[in-house]
Amino acid sequence: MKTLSSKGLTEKDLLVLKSLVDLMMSRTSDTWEYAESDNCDAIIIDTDNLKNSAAIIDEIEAQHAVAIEYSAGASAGKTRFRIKKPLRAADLIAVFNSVEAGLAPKNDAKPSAANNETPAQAGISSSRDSGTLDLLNGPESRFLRVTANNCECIIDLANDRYKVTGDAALDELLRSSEKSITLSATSGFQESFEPSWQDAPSLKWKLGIFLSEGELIKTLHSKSRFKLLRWPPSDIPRTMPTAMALSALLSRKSGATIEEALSETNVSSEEAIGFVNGAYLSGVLSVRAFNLDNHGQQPIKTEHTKGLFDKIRDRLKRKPK
Amino acid sequence: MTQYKFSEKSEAFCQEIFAQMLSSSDAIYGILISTVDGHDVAKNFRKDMPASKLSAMMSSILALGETIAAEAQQQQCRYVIVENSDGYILTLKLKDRLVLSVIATTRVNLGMLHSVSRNAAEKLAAHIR
Amino acid sequence: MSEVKLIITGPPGAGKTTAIAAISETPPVRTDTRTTDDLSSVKEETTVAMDFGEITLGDGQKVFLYGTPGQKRFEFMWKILVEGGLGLIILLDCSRPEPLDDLNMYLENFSDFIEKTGVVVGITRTGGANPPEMGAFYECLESTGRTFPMFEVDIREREDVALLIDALISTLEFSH
Repeated sequence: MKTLSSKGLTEKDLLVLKSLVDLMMSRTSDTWEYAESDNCDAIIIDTDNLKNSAAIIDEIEAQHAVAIEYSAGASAGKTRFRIKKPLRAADLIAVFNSVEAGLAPKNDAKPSAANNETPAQAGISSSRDSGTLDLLNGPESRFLRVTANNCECIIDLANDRYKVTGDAALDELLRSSEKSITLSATSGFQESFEPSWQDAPSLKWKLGIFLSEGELIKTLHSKSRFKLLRWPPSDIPRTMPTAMALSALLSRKSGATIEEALSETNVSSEEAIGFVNGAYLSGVLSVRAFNLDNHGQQPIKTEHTKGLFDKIRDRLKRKPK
Repeated sequence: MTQYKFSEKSEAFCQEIFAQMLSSSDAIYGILISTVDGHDVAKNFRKDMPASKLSAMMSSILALGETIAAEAQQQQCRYVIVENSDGYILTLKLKDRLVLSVIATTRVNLGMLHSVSRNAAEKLAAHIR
Repeated sequence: MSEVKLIITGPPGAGKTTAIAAISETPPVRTDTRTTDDLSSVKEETTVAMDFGEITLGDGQKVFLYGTPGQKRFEFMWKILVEGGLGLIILLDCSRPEPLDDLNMYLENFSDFIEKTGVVVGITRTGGANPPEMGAFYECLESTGRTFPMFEVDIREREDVALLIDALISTLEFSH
């Protein structure tokens, strides 16, 4: 059981929130309940309505609870989790599942009901060194500077936008084996930077795909069952054709594990992990803390249909005669 | 929604022609004018039938008839006839935008139904704007 | 050799005929007639029975693409056309007044077919004032209980039509 509270929400939003929390029980891995208390697992803060929201967020995080920013405009950049107005079930489910993954224990043993509820700070228990994506996933990282081949790119993580100097495209920079990456909590280094910001809705997907280096973000567990809540924007399958198979596989009602993705598609482990990281950073991944025995819906796949789908795919790649 | 509509005068003329058709054979029990894109415009039914649904269907079948003719390298589809165990449905284009459909039992000779429908279509086409 | 049939539906003017023309190897078969109602201010002709196009696979097998009429009054054609179909592509036009209502209407009317097969949604003309966010379209799709693909597309582009078909067959292969 996880508890949720809120600060600064309008009466209408509060009503919607409470109803959604009641309705969503079956859609999240854990059960969530709304409680009028400061001592909750997560607190939603309407940063548009509260002047001192930054201080409130600091206070919540100091108590090891999860602060979820709720606002209409661009993120204030204080929290890891954010819901854009208006309140929607899908957004709430995605955030709850991400919060649950962050609170879940990280040991490989199948957790009991009791230890599944033990809150732990995201990432603390992993023995692996932090990779770039783990740092991105932290509340202190708001800007990312990528330099390679005399080109420089600054990425504003909270607002899904970037600016780049030089001729290189974003994908090229992120792919480069020569790149160097710096993280910063402030936008200090953006002032001297001439080009204007470019919006990129698929930015976090790309960070997952290009910067994962075969390692899952620490808050995710390799044995977990992942369910995709939304498909990536169209430039992702264009950049990474295997994204189609991965999206479809993770869209099953029961979701899928990375192991299943590898055994049922021709996708490499690096691609599958990059894709899952990208989905997680983009807030469209629902995570079940461990692999359930019930695998749910399986594809109706015969040799005949498999061959047929491959032939159609092959034909779509060819230009018309 | 704005739909194709007859003037009062045209509507009255249609009903006059419909009455003549119905009196020419008691096998005819439904006459419908609809637009080529499937809206009903005028009708005289002796039986309860869904005019709006039939209008959409008639436009589909006539368009299919014209498309099939073109694929088979034939010109100008004039009629589409649906012949059933207990009746006929004959559909033909009426000017650019309209479709005339005549529904009858098998008590009428198909040639006769043709002739009545074609004559009516010519008269209607000459008067309707 | 079995034939494969994919169905394209969506409101009038969403680009069903254009999509088939963009990807079909043969000139598409059309059943366009003049529009006589409000739609005439947007387009001069509308499909009243079906559009038809085809793609030939490497071994000669055919994939047939059927476009439905968009208007609800041609619902009977929807039922005829989906018979034996492998999956559905819904195209939505964001320049229309209520694209979310459009999506709900097609999801409801094709629900039996979608349940048995799969659907991909292509969103077009998103450049106007205040198009709904993708999230709002996804909320409509949630009524199906499954996560189906949805992409913003320019349906005049062959690559974009190919993307929708690829997503549809991936859904059929991996997530059905």
